[in-house]
Amino acid sequence: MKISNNDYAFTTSGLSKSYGYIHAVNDVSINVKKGSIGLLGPNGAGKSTLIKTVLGLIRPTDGSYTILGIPEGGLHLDEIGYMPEHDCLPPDFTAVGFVSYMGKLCGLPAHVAMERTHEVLDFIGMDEARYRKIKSFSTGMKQKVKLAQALVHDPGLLFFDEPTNGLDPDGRMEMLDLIRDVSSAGKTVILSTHLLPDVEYVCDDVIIMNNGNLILYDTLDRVLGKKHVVLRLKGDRKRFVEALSSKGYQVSTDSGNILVEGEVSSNDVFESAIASNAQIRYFSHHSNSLEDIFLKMVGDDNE
Amino acid sequence: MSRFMARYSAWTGKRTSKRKRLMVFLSNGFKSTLRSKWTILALAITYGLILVPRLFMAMMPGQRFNPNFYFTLFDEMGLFIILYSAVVGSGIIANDWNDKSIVLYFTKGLSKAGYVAGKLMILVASLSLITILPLLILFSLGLISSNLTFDLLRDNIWVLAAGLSMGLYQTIFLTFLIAGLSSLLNDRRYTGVALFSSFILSRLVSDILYGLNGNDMVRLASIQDNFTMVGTYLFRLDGIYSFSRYYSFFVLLAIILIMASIVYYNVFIKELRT
Repeated sequence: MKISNNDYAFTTSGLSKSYGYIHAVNDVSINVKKGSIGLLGPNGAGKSTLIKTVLGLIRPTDGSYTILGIPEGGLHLDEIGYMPEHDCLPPDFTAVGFVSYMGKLCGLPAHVAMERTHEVLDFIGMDEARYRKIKSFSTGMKQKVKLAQALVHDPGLLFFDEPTNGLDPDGRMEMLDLIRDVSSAGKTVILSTHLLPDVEYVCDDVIIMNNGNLILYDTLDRVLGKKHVVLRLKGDRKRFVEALSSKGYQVSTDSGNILVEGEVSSNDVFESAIASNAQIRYFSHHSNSLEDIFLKMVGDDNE
Repeated sequence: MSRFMARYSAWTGKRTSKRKRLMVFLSNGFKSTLRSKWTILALAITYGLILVPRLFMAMMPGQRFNPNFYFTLFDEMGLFIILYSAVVGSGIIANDWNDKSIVLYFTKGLSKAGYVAGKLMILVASLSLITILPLLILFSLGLISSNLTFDLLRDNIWVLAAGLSMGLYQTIFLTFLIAGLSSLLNDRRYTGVALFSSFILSRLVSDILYGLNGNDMVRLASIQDNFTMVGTYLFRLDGIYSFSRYYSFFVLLAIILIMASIVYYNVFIKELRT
């Protein structure tokens, strides 16, 4: 089946998945655009179930979905890479043997699969260890092999389910850098995690889920709100505000603070201060944190 | 830090066909089986203890194409075939479910039907090494030692056909039995034990029941006895029990169908839990 050329990574309509009385995914309708998308939610929010459902690994209880424009059942898996959350590597394979085997299963000719395997293992930074059996690997190395097998066939859409699980801080940053590199190579990345900084580091868009419900889907910029600068000064506030406003800034005052919306050039601020004969005593960039927004939204949903 | 020396690079090219990918799956599984030291050991024991002594017998004029010679070959190999089957087959599906790599196969363009077909073919190929290959070796040796006379071959080709049928039936039975148990138990050790037990316990039950009522029909409960009965039919020998040999054929067929249903349920119907 030919992949239709549309802008959506996947879409769902009234998608639900229940295990007995537990609604793992509850009536989720969403059109997820291509790009780098963070799928955020606490443990048990339904993130992994949503991914497994759109990948066709589990059957939805209700609703429908499309992935890369193809309806349920007609999935073209060559275009999809999946890095599962759980351990899923056969212990008796070597890293190079397993990744090239996965490449061949995805339709790479044998010689290409081996060449591509080495490219991908170079990319993830696995040296001689690639020739060792997977059972001897640390968690970090296993995570890298899982990443490599998802990338080996160069898919256009990649699902990463909790890729930084079990990694130390260095390993976590390395993994996020790798995913960011993949994203900047033009691939669509769906990053499922409960770690907010991971989403902020890698993604442009964010989906928030809680208790199987879709809470929010928007661009990260819009979710975080516009950046603003908070100023405090000594001198004529009114003249300073007029001077800064004349440079095209949206300026407001709030008790002792002066708030300037958007990106602010410090040169403009100090030039306005000189012009109005005022002294800048406090200058700080501010933005909402994803954590604040996440806690508020999840809190509202729980209520 | 080599990681920062390499950037992600895309790949463009023509992908291989579905058939070719299935062949990759099949050949990889078969090679993995043959590379196992336990497989080699089981093959060496079976060939060393059963086949090698028969190599000389196969060249003797009286045994060369004697149906009883080939029938007793299968009978003697019975225990070794089960041992070998447990070694090569018990992890065939169980390992994929146990280490959860099944998820990767199903997200790599391999359909569930392709997965099952591939696994069954790997089993058939592996088991044929011990059910069909020895027969072919012995028959070829007999043929060579009789100066490759065409008339002799024509007159005795049915012995080869009977042996191949017997070997194939054993292979298919064991393939489905292993696949069914492996998909049901999800653990290679349990599968191996269950495979062994199915033969030993069925024989034990059959012996106990026979001791209680003395009726030959209870022998149908024994897998081994059913194979013996099918063997006597194919090699045109006298049946050792009084019931129709078709019954044995159908009992084994029923077990094949039950096991096929178990595989179908566990792979196609049951929810994939990871």
